[in-house]
Amino acid sequence: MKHIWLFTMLFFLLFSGVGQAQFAGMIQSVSGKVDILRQSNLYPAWKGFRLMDKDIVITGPEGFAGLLFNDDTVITLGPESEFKIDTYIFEPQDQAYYFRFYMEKGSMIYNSGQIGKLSPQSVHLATPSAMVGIRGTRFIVDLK
Amino acid sequence: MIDKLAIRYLLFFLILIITASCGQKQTKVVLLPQENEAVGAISLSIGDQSVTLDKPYAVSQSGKMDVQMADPEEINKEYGGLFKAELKRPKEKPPAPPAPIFEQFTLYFQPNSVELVPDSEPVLKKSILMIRRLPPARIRVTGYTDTVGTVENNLDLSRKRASRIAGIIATEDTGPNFLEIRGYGEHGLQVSTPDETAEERNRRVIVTILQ
Repeated sequence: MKHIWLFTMLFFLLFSGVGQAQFAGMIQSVSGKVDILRQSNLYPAWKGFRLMDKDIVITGPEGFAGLLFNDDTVITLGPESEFKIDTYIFEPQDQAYYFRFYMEKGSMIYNSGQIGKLSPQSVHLATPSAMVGIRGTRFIVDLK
Repeated sequence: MIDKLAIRYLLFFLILIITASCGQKQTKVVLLPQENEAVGAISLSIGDQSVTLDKPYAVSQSGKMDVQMADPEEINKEYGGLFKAELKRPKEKPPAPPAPIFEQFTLYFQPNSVELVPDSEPVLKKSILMIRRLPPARIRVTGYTDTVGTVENNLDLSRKRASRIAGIIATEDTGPNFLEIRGYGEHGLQVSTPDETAEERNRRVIVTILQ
């Protein structure tokens, strides 16, 4: 009986880790200096770097980054940008959709993917000065 | 003497407010045309104020909150670097058909807790008995919450609920199954309710055995 409890605890710990580690998308292109801030660690970005919730993508003075998300949403960040993936849920199997992005500074082109058709009301982009609602489209955001 | 001091304080705060408002970055949005697709729309909002952009090259700024039309050439020049770096969106693939469901069990939880309501204990037992009888299967364990509490906390709570149930299933001698654990918080309500509404039917974990 004791062992069962031990295993339960062990599995609980293991799985709660797994439960959090879902990928939202990946870095598809990098030019110049681009870093990912994840849990207070800074990683240099490379093509194929997998992104997850709470990651902050930071571009340098001449940095550009192309982000491809699971639903085919494409985000291109311009120089000196800071872009955070607050929450990304795209699970068509369970019809669960929720994107929350935060852009602290810089510029980007946002091009919505499948989410734009499936559940546009689930997409939220916040900046320090405004909220942007998105209905399946392509647009520039510029913070200056 | 006091008046002078008061004026000084007033000036100090005025300057503080002005610098603070200058320091805040303006948000500028430009709607762009899309290849082979109808142009959608975006809205820019601050508090209750909101403007909608639905034509290509419509521009709005958080400081002004109006909509103007920009010259496409100027936009191309101003954002040339971004356009050059922009990735093409991958060709749309037909969505994968959902995996056929063999059996599904719904378990309900006590408020703000990973403990089941008493009625759901036998349902969990039943699901474990079934998984035990089956050959190794793919099992999705998805957690949900009601709308009480913050979105973030609920996301966390729903994942804990799913993890707990998956942990119990895995340790009940059910064999080597492939468990997928998900938590959706308050996104995916079974009964739609306003925010901050306690609703047992929304505090749930769904155990889906896939074929």
